[in-house]
Amino acid sequence: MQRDIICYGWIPNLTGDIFLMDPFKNKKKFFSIDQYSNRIPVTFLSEFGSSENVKVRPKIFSDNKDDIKNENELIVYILDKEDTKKLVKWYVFINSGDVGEAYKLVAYIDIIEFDEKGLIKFVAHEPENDNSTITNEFLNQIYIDIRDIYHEHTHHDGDSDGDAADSLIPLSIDSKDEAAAIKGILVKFQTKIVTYHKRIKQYINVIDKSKYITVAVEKIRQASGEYLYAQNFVAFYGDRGNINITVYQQLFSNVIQSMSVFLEELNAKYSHETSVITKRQNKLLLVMTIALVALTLATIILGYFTYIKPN
Amino acid sequence: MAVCNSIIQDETILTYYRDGKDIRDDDVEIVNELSSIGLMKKGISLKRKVVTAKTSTLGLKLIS
Repeated sequence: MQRDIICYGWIPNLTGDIFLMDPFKNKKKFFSIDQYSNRIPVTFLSEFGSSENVKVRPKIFSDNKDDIKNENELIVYILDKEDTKKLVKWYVFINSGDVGEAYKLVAYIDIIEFDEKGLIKFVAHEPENDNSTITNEFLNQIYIDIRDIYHEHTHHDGDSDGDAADSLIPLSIDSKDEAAAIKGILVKFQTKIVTYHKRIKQYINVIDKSKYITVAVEKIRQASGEYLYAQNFVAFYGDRGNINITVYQQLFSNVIQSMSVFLEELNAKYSHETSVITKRQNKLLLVMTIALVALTLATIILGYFTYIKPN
Repeated sequence: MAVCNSIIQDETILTYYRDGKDIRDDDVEIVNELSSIGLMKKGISLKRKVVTAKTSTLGLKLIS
């Protein structure tokens, strides 16, 4: 039996309008359906219609290097005819394995709501006779793909493949209604407070290893950025989620404050480490100077006895 | 303070998934945790229906 799963996600943003710019204008990232028409099954080509509101992007969802040779996907984005910045449908096709064969549909989603402040509600559908494709991890990947289109990663770097870091996934799967989904997304932000604190504290406590300092600074920046987003999420959707906005705003504000404390601790420690290193270097310099003076004296004395004293 | 066991455990995982692999059942929890703070990223093989993971650029800095 075919399964439909409803998800709510939030595209993290600070502007309050994710449609300010048209993300689908990027010609290096999105291609015309005409360029891939030989790979998409004919029935879908007629369903997709005009190429003006259809974009295609090849992608590999797997991180296993062995899959890269024989597995690749095509994502088809259907945009709103009236407003081509707005995504309304998302399809993923996979290569069948035979050269020249059309790709086959893996799953597709219908976007039911997509508001300018970033909340998105979508239904994921599996093809008939296949009820094992849409797992939570696959839904995460669908969300990440859409998030990356609209969200510019101003608070953390992308990975080496150019995809966004996997850290920010405010997605609620199979929630009973919008209010429950908003609460579910808040819980996701809250859960990470512990993880960030635990790791950052450990990295700060390691002495004499610059790589931990680098990573700690990056994590502090990333966590602070995420909690700024969390504050925005509360401001945008607190009412619709029936939550106490003041309490959550204060909570995330405190977390950002505690990140500043970590940064101060790191600065103090780094200054201390630097001063310890400077003292060590001064001591070494002193020893070397004494040794050099001793060597010079020894050379003079030796010279005296060798060339002057013979008589 | 020396490097604690927890960091050593993280680095073992980051090293194992350096180039991208299928997630082992025993690693699910720690991979989820490391992914949630951007030290790893997860993916999926739609053909094999298996979850995969790879160490992120920042994660690589920890094991350099």
